[in-house]
Amino acid sequence: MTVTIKFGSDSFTRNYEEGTKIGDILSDHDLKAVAGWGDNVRALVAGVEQPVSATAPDGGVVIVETRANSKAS
Amino acid sequence: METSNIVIESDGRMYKVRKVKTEIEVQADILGRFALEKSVKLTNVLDAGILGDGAMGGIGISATPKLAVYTVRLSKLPMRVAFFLTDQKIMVPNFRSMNKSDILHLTWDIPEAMRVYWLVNMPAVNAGDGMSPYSDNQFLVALDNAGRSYRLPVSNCYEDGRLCPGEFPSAGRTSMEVLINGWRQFTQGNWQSDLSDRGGGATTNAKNAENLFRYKPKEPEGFEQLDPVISWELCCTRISNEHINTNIIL
Repeated sequence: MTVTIKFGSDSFTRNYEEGTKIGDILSDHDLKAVAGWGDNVRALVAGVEQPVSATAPDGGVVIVETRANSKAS
Repeated sequence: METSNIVIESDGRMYKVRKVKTEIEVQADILGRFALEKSVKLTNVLDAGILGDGAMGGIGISATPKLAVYTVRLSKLPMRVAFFLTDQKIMVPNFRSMNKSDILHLTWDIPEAMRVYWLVNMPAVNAGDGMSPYSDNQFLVALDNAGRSYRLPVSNCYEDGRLCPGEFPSAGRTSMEVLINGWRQFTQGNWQSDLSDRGGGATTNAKNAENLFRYKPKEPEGFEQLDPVISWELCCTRISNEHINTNIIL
């Protein structure tokens, strides 16, 4: 399966095995090294945040975005 | 309405193709949804000089019927924060300190290779309901030449570049008044210690700030800005915020 991953202005298209999860993409060491994202990120597909257990969309676009934690009250 | 035309295929066969055009009723809420998602980008709407020293170029606006986002490029970063003198006699900021006696009011001239932007959200309001324009969010982001975005090693800034500007009059009679109020807060307020650990972490951010924002005391008084120790990208945290990516006007 082919997935396009976007992080900011960078866009990557990678081939993955069928059934690859969103979490696998977010923890992809090669991608993290090239794109520069850390562990505190989330994935959006069509504007909707995806759980790490969700299957990545074959032929689709995954937008990786920095996650902001709320302030401690 | 039906139309037809003759198509000749590459094998020489001829076909008659009929098209039937039928008007369909689209629910108003669907049309409304499309209208709400339509965005307009306006560049150089205003001379950023209207805000004063520290802003440059033209102010851009990215607008949908629900929200307007103003982009201001910075030539200087306000540096009203506690400073300390290192062993090498270099003045560097300590964004974790709340010691008021250490606060200096400096600015940091942004290097040419670095583009820093301040963005302001203004949700659409209905003046007929007696609502005033207001800002609900501000953002601070640095971009490199490839358009990659970074969080600066400052405080009062979340992981994704959203600012926590503190208490100030975020509403105004006009959008311009809202922008100016926000600008005053951004440039004249002190950096607090909140969120100084976001992005790279407290220790890393502190070290990055020391490597990036550097001054030397000069005689008889004042401070001279020094170059960063390493490239500015290495002093910042790589981020991506789709709200910024979508609305920033470069």
